[in-house]
Amino acid sequence: MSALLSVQDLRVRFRTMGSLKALTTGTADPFIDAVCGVSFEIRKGETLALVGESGSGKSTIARTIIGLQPAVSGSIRFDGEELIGLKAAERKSYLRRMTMMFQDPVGSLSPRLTVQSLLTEPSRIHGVSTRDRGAEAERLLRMVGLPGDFGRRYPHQLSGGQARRVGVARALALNPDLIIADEPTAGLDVSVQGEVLNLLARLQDELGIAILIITHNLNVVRHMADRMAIMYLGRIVEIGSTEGIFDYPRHPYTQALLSANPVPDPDAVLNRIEIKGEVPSMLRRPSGCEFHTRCRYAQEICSRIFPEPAANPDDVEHRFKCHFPLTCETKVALEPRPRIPDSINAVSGDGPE
Amino acid sequence: MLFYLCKRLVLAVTIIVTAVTLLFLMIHAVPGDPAAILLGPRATPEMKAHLHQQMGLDRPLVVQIVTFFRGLLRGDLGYDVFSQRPVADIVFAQLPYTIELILVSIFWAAAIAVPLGCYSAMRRNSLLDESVGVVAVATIAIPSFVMAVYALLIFAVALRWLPAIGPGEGFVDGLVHLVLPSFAMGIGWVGYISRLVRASMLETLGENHIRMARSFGISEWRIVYRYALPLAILPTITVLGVGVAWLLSAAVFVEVVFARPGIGALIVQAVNARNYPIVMGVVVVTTFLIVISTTVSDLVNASLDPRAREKL
Amino acid sequence: MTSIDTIGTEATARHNPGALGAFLRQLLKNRLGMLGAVLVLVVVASAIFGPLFITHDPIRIMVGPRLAGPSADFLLGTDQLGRDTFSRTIMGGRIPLLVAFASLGSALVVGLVLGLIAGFGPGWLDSLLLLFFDTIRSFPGIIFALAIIALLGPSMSSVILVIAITSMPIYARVVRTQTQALRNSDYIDAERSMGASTMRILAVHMLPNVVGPLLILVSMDVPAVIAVEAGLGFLGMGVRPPTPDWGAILNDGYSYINQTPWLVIAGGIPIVVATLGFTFLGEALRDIFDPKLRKDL
Repeated sequence: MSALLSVQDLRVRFRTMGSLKALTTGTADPFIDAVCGVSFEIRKGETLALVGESGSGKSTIARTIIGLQPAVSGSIRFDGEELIGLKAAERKSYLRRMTMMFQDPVGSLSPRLTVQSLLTEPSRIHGVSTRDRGAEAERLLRMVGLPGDFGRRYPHQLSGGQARRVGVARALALNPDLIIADEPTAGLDVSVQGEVLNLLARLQDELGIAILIITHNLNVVRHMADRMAIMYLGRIVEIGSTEGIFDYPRHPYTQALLSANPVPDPDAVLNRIEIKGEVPSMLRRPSGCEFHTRCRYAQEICSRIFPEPAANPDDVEHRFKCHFPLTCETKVALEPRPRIPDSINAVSGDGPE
Repeated sequence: MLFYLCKRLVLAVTIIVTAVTLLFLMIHAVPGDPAAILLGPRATPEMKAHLHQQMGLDRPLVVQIVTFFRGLLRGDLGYDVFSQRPVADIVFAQLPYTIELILVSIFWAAAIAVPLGCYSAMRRNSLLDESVGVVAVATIAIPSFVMAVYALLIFAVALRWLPAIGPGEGFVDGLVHLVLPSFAMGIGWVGYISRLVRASMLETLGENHIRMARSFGISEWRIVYRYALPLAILPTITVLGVGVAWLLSAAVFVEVVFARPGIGALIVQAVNARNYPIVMGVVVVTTFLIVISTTVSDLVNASLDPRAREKL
Repeated sequence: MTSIDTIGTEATARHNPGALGAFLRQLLKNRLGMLGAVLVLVVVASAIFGPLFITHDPIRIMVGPRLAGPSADFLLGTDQLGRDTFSRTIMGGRIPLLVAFASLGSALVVGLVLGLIAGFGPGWLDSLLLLFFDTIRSFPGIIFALAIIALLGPSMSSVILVIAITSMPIYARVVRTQTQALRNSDYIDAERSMGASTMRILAVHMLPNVVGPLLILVSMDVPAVIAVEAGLGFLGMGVRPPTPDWGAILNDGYSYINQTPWLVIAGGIPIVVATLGFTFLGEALRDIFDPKLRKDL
């Protein structure tokens, strides 16, 4: 199957200080690589989750794909067309086909616009003539399960869950092929989180949209994603099918991350694996495998040589970067993954932060 | 902090350079010949040409600006063709009068306003506090020249208690002549400073070490004066630096109304006489004063509050 | 440079648009604000409907004796040219209000545009504009105004220009700070991610959120502008005679202060009433709409 979105060796860097300050403080390299050679693909109608602690560069990838952040090098192809290097006007036609939902449900809605204007904003921007904006807004509101008279409200009059639904409706307004959802459950009550996830899953089934979910919440990943990628310090350390990774994590970081996730089963064996130490600063990346400073299995070679990507023998799509990948015996007990739950009320929203 | 200091000083110098350049460009952009205006309608072309040469107006603009900056570094503000004296001499002869007026006004205003502000903070929302608040807003709003004229009318013309005009002779007479002018200038600052002291004092009084002092049974007045005031007064001082522009404007009117010498009176005469070198000199010197005072107050502010260093 | 940066960044004004009734109720509760509103109403009404009240032609000389005290015919006496002071005072409010409206209006528009450019544009342009704003703010108030008037000649348009130039940088800085605070907000990112053009973002999504606090700032500057206009009139650098103007009347009164107090009273009281009225009203507006907005001198 052809890839809808294909990201190859993407690099994004940030300036940490002004050039003048860098000169006076003697900093030779005032940049950090927030995204450091990331590659992945999303197929049509598929859901991929980018997972990692905050600061691991997952949101930066989303912002770069959508064009809010310039890339230093690499390639982002959407439906076969290269997006990097496009001018704003050339990029615009792709922004119709891929939309992004931002973290803050209320804050990502322009505060002076009514819900109706917010929902019809995409068609106005892209010059799509709609006969009746009121009817169009109502159609979108119904689609996300909100009453039609919400069109007259302002963002601050919405609850977090309602605002998130409006955000979903707006993302769907022009029938996109891809939705990038940055922490779609952030700031929502646990019960509302479940509703929003179910809504997204239902709409995905109905409309055949591909979704890139960015989250640190593993429960969201397990309930939504077909495949997942785990990020550490701006690199993907492990990528593969969600089932495969949850069943059989190969990278020690993934293992630790999964074990830190609370499981909604009182009988589950809690063999939680602690990660020692703090996340290293991107300003001073560790040598070799960047996880070796915190890895319980680290050996001498890990601090010298960056591990080459390897694949699982029985699942070539499951790839990881580790000198000493875990074997089946170290697997952590985790409950089996249901397709779409009726509710994930019992799930706590805490990630590994 | 050192980094901030350097940056702030560079900014101050840049502002002065930009300001002087802007002034030159403005003079240049205005149609009309300063020399011709200066000489009046009966001037012959030869006289104009001669004056042009004397004022340096025949040279290109860039050369004029560079020459002016060179002079500025030596403290030379140009030459006044009218009185045949250097502009700097004229301006600096008048400057002490204005500074004296400003200092005296601020001094008595602060002397009244600081205790008033402390009292307002201690008796928050009392009748006195609220009336001081209203009067403060009112006195800040009323223009200084209206204050000056009314003070003149009431105390000098109607009641004949105080002298109306001039700087006076000798120390005591000089002080007597300062009463009305400094009243007109300082009255607005009484309200302003007392509000600032009050706000800053309320903040300080809420801090933990003050609560601790209170728990030791130290009297409230002693807490306010010995412990809180030294902390509360600092933010107020930084605002005074920014107020220099305001005080200079007020001084112009007060000097005119009370016929006092000073930099404000000087510029009014110079504008009436279309004497550009003097006008330029006064503007440059006062801009200097303002840049210096805002820079100092920013630096004081930054040394007190590390967050202020981030902004610039 | 110290205080301006912090103004109004919090003010994304979460008010329900069109809540005029709620505003009026709050104003009624604010006694000082009500006093201000009444004074402003008196000043504005007398400027607009002045011709209905005046008893004499305000610029005709020798309608009465020179420097006379109040009488039934000349309610506030006459000036040194025998003109009716009452009529001149009533009509003298037109110039200050006109100057305030024109100068603050143009300063608002220019400040808004430059502030949006500085806040949204590239870094070097921002630094350049900031330097420009800070430079103008370093010019010494009235002294700078006098210098400009020395160049352009005294007239109402010179006064408007000077006030517009000197008030603009504060507005521009506020708009810039506000814009910068908003430009990285999620909703602006969301608009950009939908492909909205910069012009659309500025006009539809920035402007409405920036203009509210700015209008309050402008309303609080009205008394200062009236004071500057009257001050320049007082120094003889404002509107040209014989146009009636409070500052000019006060100047006449100052010249003849030993002969009659009436001119000084007639010229000064309206200035006090107008500045106090606009100050009280402005403070009330700020307290109601945006309590966090603080303006230092």
